[in-house]
Amino acid sequence: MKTADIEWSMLRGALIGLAIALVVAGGLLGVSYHFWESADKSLKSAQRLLSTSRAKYRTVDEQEAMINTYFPQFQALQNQGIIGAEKRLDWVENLRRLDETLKLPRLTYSIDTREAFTPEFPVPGGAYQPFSSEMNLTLGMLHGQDLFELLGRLDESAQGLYSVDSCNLKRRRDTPGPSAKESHVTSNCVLRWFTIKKPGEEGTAS
Amino acid sequence: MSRRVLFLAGGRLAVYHWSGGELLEPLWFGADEDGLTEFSLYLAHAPHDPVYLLVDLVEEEFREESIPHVVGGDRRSVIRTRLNRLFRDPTYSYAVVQGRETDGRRDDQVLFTALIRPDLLSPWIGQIAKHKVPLAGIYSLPIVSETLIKRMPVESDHALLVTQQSTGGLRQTFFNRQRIKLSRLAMMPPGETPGHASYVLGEIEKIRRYLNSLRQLPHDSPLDVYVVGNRALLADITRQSPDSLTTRHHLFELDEVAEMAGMKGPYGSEYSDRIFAHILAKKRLPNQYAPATQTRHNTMHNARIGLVVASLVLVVVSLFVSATKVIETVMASSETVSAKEQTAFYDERYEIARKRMPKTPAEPQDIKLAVEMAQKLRAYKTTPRAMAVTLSEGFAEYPQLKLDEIKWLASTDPEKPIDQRGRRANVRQGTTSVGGDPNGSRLYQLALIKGRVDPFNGDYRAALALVKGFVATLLGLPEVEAVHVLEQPLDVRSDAALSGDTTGDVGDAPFELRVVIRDKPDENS
Repeated sequence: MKTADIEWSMLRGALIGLAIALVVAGGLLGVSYHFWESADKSLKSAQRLLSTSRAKYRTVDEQEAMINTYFPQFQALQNQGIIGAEKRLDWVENLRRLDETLKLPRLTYSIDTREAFTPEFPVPGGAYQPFSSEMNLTLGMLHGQDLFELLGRLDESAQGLYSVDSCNLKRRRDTPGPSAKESHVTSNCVLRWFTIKKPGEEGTAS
Repeated sequence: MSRRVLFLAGGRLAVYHWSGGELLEPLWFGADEDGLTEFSLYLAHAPHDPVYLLVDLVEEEFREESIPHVVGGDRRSVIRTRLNRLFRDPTYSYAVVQGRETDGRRDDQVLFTALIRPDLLSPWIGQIAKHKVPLAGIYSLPIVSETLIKRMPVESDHALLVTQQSTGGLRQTFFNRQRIKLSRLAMMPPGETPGHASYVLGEIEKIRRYLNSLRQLPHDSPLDVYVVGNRALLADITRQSPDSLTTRHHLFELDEVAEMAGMKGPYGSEYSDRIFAHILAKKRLPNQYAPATQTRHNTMHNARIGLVVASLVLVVVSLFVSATKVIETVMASSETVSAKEQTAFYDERYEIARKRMPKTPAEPQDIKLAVEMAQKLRAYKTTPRAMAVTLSEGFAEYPQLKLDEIKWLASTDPEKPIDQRGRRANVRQGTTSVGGDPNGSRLYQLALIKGRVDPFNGDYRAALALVKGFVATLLGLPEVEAVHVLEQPLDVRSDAALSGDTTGDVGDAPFELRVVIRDKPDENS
């Protein structure tokens, strides 16, 4: 059938009806879908919150047990200066006391700023992250054993946790020198003092 | 759906309205000026329901011909050519393929028919077109009767159907295996039924002879004649005992045939017009004679119905889908309220439970992880003491070797260079050293030691043996992973240059070793 053969007068009403039907159908579908989508989004959000709350509630006993087990250790670590603020004053005071006790010919130190620490070995994640401060310790000693004596006493008395990163020991003399203050062995060690804190949490040094 | 059947025969037109699955009583219009005027008025005021024009005219020709077996457009073209050749005016012509020949090229057997007096239809068609009434098609009563005979208990291959129409026509249609082959319309003599039986039987005998002359009938069996008529006519025929060796009669009353055609209730007519009109209205057969230009308004009518149906379907479907969405929305809102109430309940219970617990600066899980992190750091804490102890054991066995310098570091990578300052910290994440433990769980202590043979009397062989023994002693210790000799008291390798002064001072006999020991972290600390 050619276009010219089409009797538009016979189709006009039906075409108008179809157009109205399209508008009505589109409107109905659009409005109903809009409200449904909004309600569905709210439902999913509420269900997520419910799921989270339910899971949180279910872990209350577990959390209580966790607190009973770990919180005392946590507090102890805080007191030891491992969690929270660094105890730099304590470190320095300890070094001074040890120097007086060991009577080392020479003891100098420098401590860098605290930085985020990424260890070579895996550590548990969470809100708390490891941080560290490098302490460069230069010793002049009569005997190499003095280094281990100093590290051992630092372990016993200093507040904090450190690990020795590297050490260079060098013999200066084979025989006793003219002065008791003359070093036979020198060492240059890097001690890393660890602390654990939340990123952004300001720890007050003491 | 409402529709109408127009029955044109004997110069008159009957209009049957189809309503509720039944035909109503007909309206009659004559083929004169008054009749056409009334028909025009009728069309103008009646609803524009589609009309099916059924014609029962003498001026209808039937030709059976063979055409080459082709399909699609080729077949249509061949048929159109043949229709133009067979009929002088093929305006109302029709062709139906009835089978194929059994031998030769196996051509198609086609029945060609045509109304050879289009002028008999023109006035009526003109009025229908003028009022834009949808014309569904123009139909031949003999061809429609093919539908009727299929519903009758006809078992014979060669059957003659005889019907009597209200316009005085006696229609005889011959079927071979229930496919129409030819048809003839005779006009009944005027007057009452008595005497009609003889006339009918005479006409049957005439057509039998004609069929015989066309060799359409078999020699060894009679022609089965199926006469449909009123009770009086059939009684008259029965009285005349017309059966013979050549003809066998089967008589059917109109009521009986009407029931076979699917009509309900008493038939209420002495003629078979209504039966054919009923079949046509009910079956809505495909158009036979009407050219496309004359069914144009019916095409528009169907398109309009299609659009209306599409609109209704669209609205109904959208209403259904929308209703479903509304129900889902209501249910979702209800579930949301319920979920919020439950959330508030669990939050409240959680807070009550939390109040029983001591105040903590962080979530319990984070506290646990922080403690475990501290334990891990403590486990990996190192000092050079282990290396010093190991080396002391070695030097204790070789007092001639003097230690001058130790460069020490700890790492999870045993291949880590020592000269560069060892840093266990601030390595980029995701990097692993070559040869190291990919999990980073094993810790090593690495030392670069420099020493000399003292006292040294110039006996390089002895000095080399001392260093070699020292290395062997270190390797014999369980914690030692590797010992590499970096410098010998005397480099005796062939690929190294060697010089010395045998007359002067013997000088030093230095050596340099790289020692790696395992320093397992204590995971339990």
